[in-house]
Amino acid sequence: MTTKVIPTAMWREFPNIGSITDARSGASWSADRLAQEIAARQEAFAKAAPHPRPRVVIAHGGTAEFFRDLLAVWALGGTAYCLNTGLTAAEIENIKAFVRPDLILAGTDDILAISGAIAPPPSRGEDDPALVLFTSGTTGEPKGVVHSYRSLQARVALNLTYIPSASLRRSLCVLPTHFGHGLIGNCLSPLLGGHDLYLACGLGPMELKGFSAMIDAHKISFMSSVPSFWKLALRMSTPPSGGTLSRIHIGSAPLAAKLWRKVMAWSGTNDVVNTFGITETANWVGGASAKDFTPEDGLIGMPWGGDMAVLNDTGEIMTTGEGELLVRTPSLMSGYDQRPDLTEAAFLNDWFRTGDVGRIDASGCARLTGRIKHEINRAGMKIHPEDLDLLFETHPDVMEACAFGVPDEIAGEIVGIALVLKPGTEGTPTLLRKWCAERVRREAVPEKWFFLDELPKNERGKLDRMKVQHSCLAGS
Amino acid sequence: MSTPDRARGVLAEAVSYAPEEIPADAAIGSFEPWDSLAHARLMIALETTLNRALTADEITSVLSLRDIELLLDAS
Repeated sequence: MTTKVIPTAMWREFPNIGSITDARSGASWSADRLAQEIAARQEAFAKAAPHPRPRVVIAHGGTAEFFRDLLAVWALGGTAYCLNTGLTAAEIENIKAFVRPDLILAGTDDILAISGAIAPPPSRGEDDPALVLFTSGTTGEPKGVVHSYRSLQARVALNLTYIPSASLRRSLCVLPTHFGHGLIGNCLSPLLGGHDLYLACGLGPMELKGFSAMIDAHKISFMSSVPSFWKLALRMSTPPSGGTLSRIHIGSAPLAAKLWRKVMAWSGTNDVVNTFGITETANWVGGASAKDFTPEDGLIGMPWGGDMAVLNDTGEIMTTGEGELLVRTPSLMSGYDQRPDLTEAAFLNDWFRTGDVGRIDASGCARLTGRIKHEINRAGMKIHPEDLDLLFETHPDVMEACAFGVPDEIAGEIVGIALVLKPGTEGTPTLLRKWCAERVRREAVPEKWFFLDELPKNERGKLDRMKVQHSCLAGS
Repeated sequence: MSTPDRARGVLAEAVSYAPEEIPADAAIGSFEPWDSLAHARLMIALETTLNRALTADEITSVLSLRDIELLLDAS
């Protein structure tokens, strides 16, 4: 069932909204109830915030209340900063100091007004910032990807164009909602398209036993996830028997052709899509469905609205060939929040530099072949090693630190760190892990520890992360 | 090596901790590092140790360090 609800011109493109159901308990908010909840929250925010178009940090997620709060912020033309619910208190304080928001929503019922919030600049209409998602820097200077109302509308509209409406009618989200993939792709696209959304964010290992029963009970037609989710789900859950699943997206980390085929066999649909997308592009910018392509490692298919190109070795932007993958799409971010330096470095003219290496063939089909960026991809969650270097170098016993990705059969990569300790100190993984866990979210805490006498440097004396990684992994 | 030590070793490897850091009452849901990723790693490690695929019932019955011991003992 759908109803007209979004009370703002910003969302006139999506006049209908679907319902939200907790897939675990079955508790549901109809579209009408959601509309009432948004209106009440909108009024409460307007009363509590010192400025119009408030900047609101939302530090909870994965529930109907989260979407109520997000849509209420947007109904006021404000900016929502959606945080990872696993952030430590120190990380939240760091972001709060950087953002200087009007309001902080720590829980589903709390509204905390913050003194010293910055008044918003004059409105630029649909180019006003709508959503900020932090991809790194929760311990140093935060790196927040800013999406305008325009870029989000473009992504949702394109997703609704490229994904069959019949598939989206009952969508399940098992991903976290601070994550572009879960939030924009898996949740907002169906919800704003008038489809019904089922939430089972952060489905735990023991819940996976009942995963197919959940799909059958709610007649789920669509879901998205990351490869590591399927590595466990396929082992723990028997296939669904209802035959309702009609499309599955898998993204945020490399999908092996073998796993791709296993998901097809388990789900009973060939419309299993390896998607390509990053937070900066508001998630999915392209994908390859096994309905149209034979699964192969690295295959990401064609763009879904926009263009892909490569930056080759000679610095030319080419529509075919191999090099760093560039994308141009109406759903591209406005930039990084308060970081013009990072924004400038991320673009080449109007192309966004993805940091992935790929090959585009004559038909326009793209394949990923490698990566330039150092970012660690732990089961789809991105960790910037530079943040950990800086954090560990504040530890009293650490002289130098260098974090890097360690290949892992399940997560794709996990976090490894090489440390040079100060003379006379005795760091142990146990103590250092505990110290780190008090300061950063769980997925960023290193899992592999290497203690070195010195870190390899390049000829200019600069840390050579690749060399550190190779040297540690060769010796492990 | 005793079964409790083997069980502790397999779980330690799955969660990337040292064996001595694994509490005796380690269980999924209460031992924080034992998350979905660690559980998948644990299943693979157990299959490697036992040199066979685990049954669906075995996979869903491993909830604690004690369950790992029982599984290793029974095999």
